[in-house]
Amino acid sequence: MISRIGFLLLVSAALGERSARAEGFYWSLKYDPSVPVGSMRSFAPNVTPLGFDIDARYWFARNWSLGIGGAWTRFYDTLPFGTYQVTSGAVTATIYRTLDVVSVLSEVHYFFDPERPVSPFIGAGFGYSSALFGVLVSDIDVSERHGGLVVSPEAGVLIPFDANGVMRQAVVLGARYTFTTSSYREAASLSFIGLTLGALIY
Amino acid sequence: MEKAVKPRRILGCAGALVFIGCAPAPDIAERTTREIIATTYDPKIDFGSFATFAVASPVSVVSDTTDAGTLSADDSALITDRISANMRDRGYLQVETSSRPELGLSATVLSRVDTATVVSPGYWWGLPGYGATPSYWGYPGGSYYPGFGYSSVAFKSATLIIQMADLRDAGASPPSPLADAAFSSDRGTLGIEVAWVAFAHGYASLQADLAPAAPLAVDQAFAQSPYIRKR
Repeated sequence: MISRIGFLLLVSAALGERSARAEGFYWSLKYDPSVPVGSMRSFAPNVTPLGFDIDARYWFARNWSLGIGGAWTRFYDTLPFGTYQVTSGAVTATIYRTLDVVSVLSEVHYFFDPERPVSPFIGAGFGYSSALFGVLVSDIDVSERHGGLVVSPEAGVLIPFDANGVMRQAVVLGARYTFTTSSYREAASLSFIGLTLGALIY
Repeated sequence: MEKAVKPRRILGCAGALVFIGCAPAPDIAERTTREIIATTYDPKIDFGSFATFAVASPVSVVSDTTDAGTLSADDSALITDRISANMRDRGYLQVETSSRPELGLSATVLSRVDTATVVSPGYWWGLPGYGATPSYWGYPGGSYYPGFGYSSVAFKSATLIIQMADLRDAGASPPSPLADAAFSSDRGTLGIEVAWVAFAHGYASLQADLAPAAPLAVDQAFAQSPYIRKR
């Protein structure tokens, strides 16, 4: 009888620690260099080093977290001598283009095995994005903002600093795909793939 | 003891990158120091319906920094020949000025440094020094009027201007309020409508000397105006 109780205590202690490692309120801050794909390359073809996202998430049960986050990515391009169509005409000159994509997303993540030293995860975000398209050519300064829905699946791994005990800090490595319905001229939609590098902080 | 990640460091790095990304955009002065070719047209005009054209020569010079008049015969030919070649490539038939062409093209070098950030097509014909070649294409009492305007601080540099006038309907009353307000009150109601204008900034010096690339500017002006084509 005593041995049975002892066994149950050991099991509950083990289970308790496992669940404690994966519960609570966390912040995530990540750096996201991104590469544009699809038709948005007609406006911004270059890889950008400028992108960040931040989220607040509640990690519940063992494998799941729900949260809300925001992301910002800036693409830019300088065309030394390009033609820009304007109303009833065109201008050929050096064209400076910028594209800022700001998204607010509700997010869900699934962690396959949070107790391991390297824990894979997948996640997805859904929400609203606002894209500001800016064009400078000669003394023409055009900026247009277009809103749209955004979907952003991601995958990666968590590498906790504190393998023993409750996870309080972890490195996050992964990749994230972002698709928004915002459009501008030849860019029928916006989509880009970002590498994510950041930290998860309890 | 747990090592704490220092959020300040992360935020610091993030801030540095944001700062780089938010660097000031090039200002207007920087954006207008290099070559610029702008074209604008009257969208009400059906360019495909014209058949013939003529190009006025020589190229006029309007300037507040040097003597006005015309370019040399050689320099003028560089521009007018290129205009003619582009128009022929678009299917139009070149005729003599005296043969009542349906489209009249002329070129001007505008060199002004004190004002002129806003210029309406046709306006420079009233400036001192303009030769008015070829005397409003032979239409007595004529004056130019545009259905559109164009403004640019790039006018502070010398600008090669190519203008296409609708001579088929020359003498008709100006159809637009802009034309009425700007031109009819002091120049009469008869006019020659400006159908298309190209402004090539940076292709001439303030002394009205053409840059070597000026003929290429003519080509680019037509290249970005695909609607100029005879059906």
